[in-house]
Amino acid sequence: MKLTLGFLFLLCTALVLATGDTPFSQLLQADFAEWNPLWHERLPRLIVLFLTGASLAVSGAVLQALFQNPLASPSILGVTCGGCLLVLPVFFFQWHLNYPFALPVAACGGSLLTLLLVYALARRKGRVEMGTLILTGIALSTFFLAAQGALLYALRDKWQFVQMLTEWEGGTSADRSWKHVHMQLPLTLIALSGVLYYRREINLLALGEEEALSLGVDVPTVRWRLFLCVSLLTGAALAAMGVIAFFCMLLPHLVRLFYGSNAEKLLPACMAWGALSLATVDITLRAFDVHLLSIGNVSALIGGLTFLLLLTRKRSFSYA
Amino acid sequence: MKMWPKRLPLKQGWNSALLYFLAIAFVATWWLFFFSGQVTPPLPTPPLRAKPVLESIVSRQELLQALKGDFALMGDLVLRWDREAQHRHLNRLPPDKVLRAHYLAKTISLTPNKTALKILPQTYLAAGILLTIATPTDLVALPRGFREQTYLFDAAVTQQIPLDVDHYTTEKLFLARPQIAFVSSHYTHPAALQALANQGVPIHASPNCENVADVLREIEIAGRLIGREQEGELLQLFIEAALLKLDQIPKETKNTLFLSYYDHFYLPLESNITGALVVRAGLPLPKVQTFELKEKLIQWNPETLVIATPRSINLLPFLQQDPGYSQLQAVRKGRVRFVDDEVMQTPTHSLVLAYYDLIEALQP
Repeated sequence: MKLTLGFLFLLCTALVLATGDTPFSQLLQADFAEWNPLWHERLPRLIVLFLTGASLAVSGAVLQALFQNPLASPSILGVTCGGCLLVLPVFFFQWHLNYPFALPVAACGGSLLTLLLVYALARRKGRVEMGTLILTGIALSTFFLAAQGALLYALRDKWQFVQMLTEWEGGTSADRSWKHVHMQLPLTLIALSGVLYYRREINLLALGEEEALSLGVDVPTVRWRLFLCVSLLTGAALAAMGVIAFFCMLLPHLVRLFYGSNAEKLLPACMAWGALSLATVDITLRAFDVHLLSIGNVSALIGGLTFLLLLTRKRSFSYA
Repeated sequence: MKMWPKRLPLKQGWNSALLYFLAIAFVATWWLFFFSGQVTPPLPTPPLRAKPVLESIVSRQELLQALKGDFALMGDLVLRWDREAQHRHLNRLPPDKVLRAHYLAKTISLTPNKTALKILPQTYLAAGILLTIATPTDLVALPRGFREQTYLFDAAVTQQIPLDVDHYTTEKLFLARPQIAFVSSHYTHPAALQALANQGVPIHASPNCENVADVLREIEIAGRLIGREQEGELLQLFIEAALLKLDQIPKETKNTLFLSYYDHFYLPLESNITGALVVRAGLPLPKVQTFELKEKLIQWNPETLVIATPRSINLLPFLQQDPGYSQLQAVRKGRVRFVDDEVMQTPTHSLVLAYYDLIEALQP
């Protein structure tokens, strides 16, 4: 399996780096000594795709383990919408043009606040009921979407702003550069390290908080830090590529079918398959010259359809 | 079980604080290192200044004055440009059109008080045209956002019109009793159309304006519908003459590209007025998706770039710092020209100003 993954990574990398208007043979010519599409355009795009895919898949897997619920994911719990809402003023006041880090700061801040709010609202007598959690997430998502809708309605005359936001919310890899890599990479490195560091605790938390506590896990601290990690992963991905819906819920579920629920195996597998899947969607769109749809659109369409398929077949749709 | 982390013992607390500090310091250092060079104070785009060559041929101020509704000036300019074209043996408006413009300018100035209709323009195109050929007090409302575009009509003019067209002003609009409404067949909300129809307001629905001919047609229709045929006709002739005059000004179009910028670059479409003006100026209009524009742009390596951008965006430092764009000949040689996006993108009779700015940007 590792060999297959390695091969697929190489294939994906080669395809992303080879896809573009400039013929590959020209890329090494002297004309491109200073600005090389390979180095300045395609490589950052590849890194952003890999980081985003890995981040979203891992954040979904962690939330599903924490809440012992296969439906839990940043988009279902409203985390993505919360991040989006705080990003809106950054775009409107154009802070991101002069201070690129304003985007990930706003997205991560919004994601974290939402996650804490969902958790606090869904908690009853020290326990988090799964149904309540999902409903709270959906309620907050609805509220944030409504707030965002209200702001956009108020700003509907600013058509360029509305167009830009529509493109960003579509989730796209167009025009990604080293700036996006630098926005995302440090946050992702820290968050992924944190998640991998707590992989044993994630396994225990998947059994339930009481069980984890009895097995010696400092549940509040670990949970808080994992929330932080998920917010960083989701916020950084949001800042770098925009909204990629459904990906973070469906992919961990599919990976779990093959790798099982053990976080020791599940998390690295989610990282690898998340990165590969997102890069594959991008390559496919570019190869077939599809400009009407963004990566976010496609991933949501595929995610939604697959999710429905899984539901209708009722094939082991549970966390364990 | 506690919801939030419990208070840690002092030593453990310090360790925890150190952990967070190190994480924040790592991210802050990273961003500081990679983004510090990019931080620039938000300066407005340098204002356009007419080059002496262009200003001596056509005065932007005069164009502006005429487009605001100075019909005598319109007539004078059409005559003046025609004389200059005769003198230099250049293309000119057909003599009958020149004479007609002269006649109309005189006639309009002799009959200043005309019966006024109460007009409701729902589109920018209609509002712009009507403010020029009618008097501001004839208009009962303006499209939302029109007042903010002060490059053509300043606040002193638009303040005379009390209302903004909105979903929430239907009753106020009804009370204002408009006698005709100018709407768009393309994007006016069906409910708004129905509301106007229910109020018994005659409606003119204009199709999407994609080029100069479409705008001229709309001017003619507007003039006819509000009983200002002469004003409409003169404005049409003036626009034709002004564009012809601007066409004749030498410009540098070799290896020049026009782009728009808002968050990223994009090329204007052929099917809008900006695209039509770009083509008229002799510039190429490649069909490239935003998706792949940067690589294409580096390949084309234009010698001159004309960029339409909002005035709030200072794009030059970005172009100079970006490893890709900084390689372009245009950026290296300092041949990047900025035009005001608001003027370029607004589909009204002010397309004359947009074309003027474009020609100015193309001066060697």
